[in-house]
Amino acid sequence: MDKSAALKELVDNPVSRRDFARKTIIGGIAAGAGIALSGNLTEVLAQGITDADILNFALNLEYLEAEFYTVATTGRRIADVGVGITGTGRAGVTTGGAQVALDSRSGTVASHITGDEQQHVRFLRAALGSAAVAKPDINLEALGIGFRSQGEFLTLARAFEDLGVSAYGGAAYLIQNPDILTAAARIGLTEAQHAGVLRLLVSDNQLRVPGVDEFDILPLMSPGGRLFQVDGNGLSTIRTAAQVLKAGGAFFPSGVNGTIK
Amino acid sequence: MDQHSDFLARVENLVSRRTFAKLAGVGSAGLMIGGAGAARAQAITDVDILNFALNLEYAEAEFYTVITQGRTIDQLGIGISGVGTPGPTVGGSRLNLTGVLRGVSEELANDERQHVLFLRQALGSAAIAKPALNFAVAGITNQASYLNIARILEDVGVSAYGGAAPLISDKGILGAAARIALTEAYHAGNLRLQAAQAGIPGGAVDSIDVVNKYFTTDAQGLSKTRTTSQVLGLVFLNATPGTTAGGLFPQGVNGTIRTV
Repeated sequence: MDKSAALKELVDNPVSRRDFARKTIIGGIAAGAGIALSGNLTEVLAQGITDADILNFALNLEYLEAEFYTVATTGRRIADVGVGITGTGRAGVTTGGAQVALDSRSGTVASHITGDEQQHVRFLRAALGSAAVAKPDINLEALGIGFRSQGEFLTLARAFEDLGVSAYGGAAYLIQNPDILTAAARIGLTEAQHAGVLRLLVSDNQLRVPGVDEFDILPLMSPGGRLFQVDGNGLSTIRTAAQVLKAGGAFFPSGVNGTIK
Repeated sequence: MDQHSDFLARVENLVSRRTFAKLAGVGSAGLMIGGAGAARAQAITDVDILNFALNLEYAEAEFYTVITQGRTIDQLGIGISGVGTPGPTVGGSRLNLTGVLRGVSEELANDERQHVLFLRQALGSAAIAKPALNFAVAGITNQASYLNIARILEDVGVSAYGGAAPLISDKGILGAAARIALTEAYHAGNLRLQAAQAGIPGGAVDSIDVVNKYFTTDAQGLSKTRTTSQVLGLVFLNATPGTTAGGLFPQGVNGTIRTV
């Protein structure tokens, strides 16, 4: 069977997988001589967060990115171009945004990224099957910028990609199933490639950008900026789901769909 | 305990458990693999995977440090001793880089040196030594040829970490490996854009390589991955199964995962 169908099979059996996850993680911690992970995993266990919950959280972010890039590059919304948005939870509307005039280089980059983000939505929806959340309400102009110039577009795009990278990086260790982990890792690595490009475009365009929160490492040209969203140990920035929602929640006026909210 | 110290503690604990397992005569947990011609199956541990990555990080850190400073990482005080066969670095020399690539290369060099330091500290006495490295095979004569090789190295790193992610058992180690991998992907995105702008020619270096668009994604938007065999086949410049040395690593890599 193909990969998407295999993932969907795994996702469709949440109850037994939840029990399996508890036993594996707890067993692993016990074998590790009682060294506790950060509080995040304990909370996750207590709530019985599943791989499907994590993928659905990511799907909310992918809906947002796909919508942003599709509107910015074509003026159309993802539902208009054949990307599914229905699922569990209420299917919301997307407001705001407009097509942006981009130069040749930024325009080509944007079109490549748009393709990737639409594919991420399709992939996660296929993997989750009937468990996939619907696209929530999205307000693309929640921060008041993004669509009036190339500079605004690059500024907002940079923020979205770095936020997404930190979400995948922060969630990696919570995923139980190896195939789902592989999929999430490959999506996260794509977002980091996007972010690497956008951070270079931001500095090449001489843009100073605002930080989204206290964890943000700004690109060059901005205070304390550097090329890569990486700390002094060479490790990329990570955020918990709560931190991601605090930084980007304004784009979801009715909140995100799914368990992790 | 902060996340950094927590990670180190978990890896150090794993190292001592592995030693205990060997003494007690039991196999360590992990994925069973059967290498070509191997007399018995070997169990791959998280330590094995981190050491495999450390070979690549040594190569990247050394490469960028030689190119940007004309020095080797041990000359900068970074430890290179450890388990396995140590070796010298030959080939490559300082380039007087200009433009955006200069600042990028300095930041790349710094990140990769940090990766070496991080992995060595986490692995402790289980860390492999830096193997012999040969940069002469890269044929770098100018900025463009350097950018081409750097692009390939970062892409190899991204694909290697992506391929290894599901093999890692310990969640603390997985979390740290994910952050190193994502850093390599940031690097790759940047270099791929520069390579595209510079019109760097050249076809794909293997069947996994992507050269016709900005990102190393397949039709589903997923970053491509390589198995350890595919990674070694590329860096050895010899994809024949059973190969254990060549190309960038004239005496092979150190650690358990060493064969195409």
